[in-house]
Amino acid sequence: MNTIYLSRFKILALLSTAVTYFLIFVGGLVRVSGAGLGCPDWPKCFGRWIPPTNINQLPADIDPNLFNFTLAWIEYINRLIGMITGLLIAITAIYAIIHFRKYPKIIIPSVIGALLVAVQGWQGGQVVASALEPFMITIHMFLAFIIVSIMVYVYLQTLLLEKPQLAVSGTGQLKLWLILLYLVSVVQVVIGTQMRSGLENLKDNFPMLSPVEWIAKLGPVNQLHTILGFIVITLAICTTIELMRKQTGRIGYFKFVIFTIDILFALQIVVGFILVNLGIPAILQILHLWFSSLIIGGLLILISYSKIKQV
Amino acid sequence: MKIFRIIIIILAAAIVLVAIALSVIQKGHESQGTLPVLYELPDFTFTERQGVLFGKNDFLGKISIVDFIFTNCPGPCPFMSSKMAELYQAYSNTNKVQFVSISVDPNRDSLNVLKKYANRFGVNDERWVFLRAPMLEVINLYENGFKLGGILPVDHSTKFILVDQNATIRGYYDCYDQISMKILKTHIRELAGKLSY
Repeated sequence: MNTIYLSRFKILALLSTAVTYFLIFVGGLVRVSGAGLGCPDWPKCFGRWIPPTNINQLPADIDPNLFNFTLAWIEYINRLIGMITGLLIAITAIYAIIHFRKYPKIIIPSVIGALLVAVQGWQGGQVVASALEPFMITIHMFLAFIIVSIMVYVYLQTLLLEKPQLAVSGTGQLKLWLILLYLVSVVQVVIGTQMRSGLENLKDNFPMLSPVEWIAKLGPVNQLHTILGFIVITLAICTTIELMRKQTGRIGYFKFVIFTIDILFALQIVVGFILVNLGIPAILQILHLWFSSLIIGGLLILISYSKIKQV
Repeated sequence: MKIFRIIIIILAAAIVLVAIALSVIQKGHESQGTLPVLYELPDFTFTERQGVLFGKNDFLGKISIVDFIFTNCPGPCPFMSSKMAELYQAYSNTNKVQFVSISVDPNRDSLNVLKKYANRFGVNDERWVFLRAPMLEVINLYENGFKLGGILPVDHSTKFILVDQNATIRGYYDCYDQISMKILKTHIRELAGKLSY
């Protein structure tokens, strides 16, 4: 393997991953700032490739009442960053096709990532066409989580190709703990999206209630999310202990990742508590979702790099 | 010490990101908080289906959604009223929002006919009122008060009109357009001073 190709590809994969994480943040921002319908059409915005800057530029068949300059531009910037992300991931896939054909662990996820990103762009249009149907938003978010996980995986495989010693050998139990933690975290994300779509529906059906009153009407999904939150953090602590006790070798970065995940889990509990009790502040909604995407990516790093020791 | 440098860079980036996000959220909410102030309603007095008078003063202190319909209308009106009925249900827990349907065919729409029409859409309180007045007064209010066009009754507008607590028109919404209906709800929240979530 030519090392120049490898190091270039590594940068490309890392950049794609970082930009995708940024895009997830921006996507959350679009939702909480109320800009989801900022452009009522797709892929154009008010019939133009660059949104109108004043009301006179609106096409005749579009209701001027729908036009909000600020919201249109927030949504438009989201689409632009989405375009850039899509292009980066596509370039990553093309690069993989040209130079990494012999490495299925790199080329397959790269190509799937590029295909999914195209699906995601189209699905984003469907979210708008559905007038922000909660279930469509959930699918949009899940696709984003899958794409970012794939990009993390591609980057990790590239690193591993360069430095195989990064893989941590240990007892099989660590990997089991990690997989369990990952699965429970995914379930927790699913329940989280149920809470969010429940709130969207309540907002639609009881538009004059306050956020705290909506939370009260949410039902058992709320308690479930809280309880599982504590279960997840307990699991994370157990996994950390398992790592600290039994693993040997170069595990400095491994510890760093798992401590970061522990901190993120703790933050999630605090943020979740504030969301539920203090009226669902918008900025914390984005952080809550974003932290969960970071946790999912972090767990993927640990799972990919923990090798089961050959006895 | 490399790790500390990374942590500091990450924290700094996070702070910048959160600051940008906060300002975008604020801008987004502010932009929805600047509903245009269009036209104040003129004085008028119509009759509600129960026989009581209903005029401009009944708009004061309430957020109103107004439409123009007639009970013999084949296509658009039942659809408009079914959309209105959805809103009527959604706002059933508040008296701050009222719904006003004005007949553009008073010759056929007697108070009794309006009562029956209201029952058809499950109206069981005074949050949704149905008004009638002599045709000329209706045309006058329709054209000069609500600034709508089209020959009445057949060619009446299918817009929902949002009127604020000062009896002033704040927006027109296409009841056939899902997005427009969603925006109407946001604007109602805004008028009610509840645009926090």
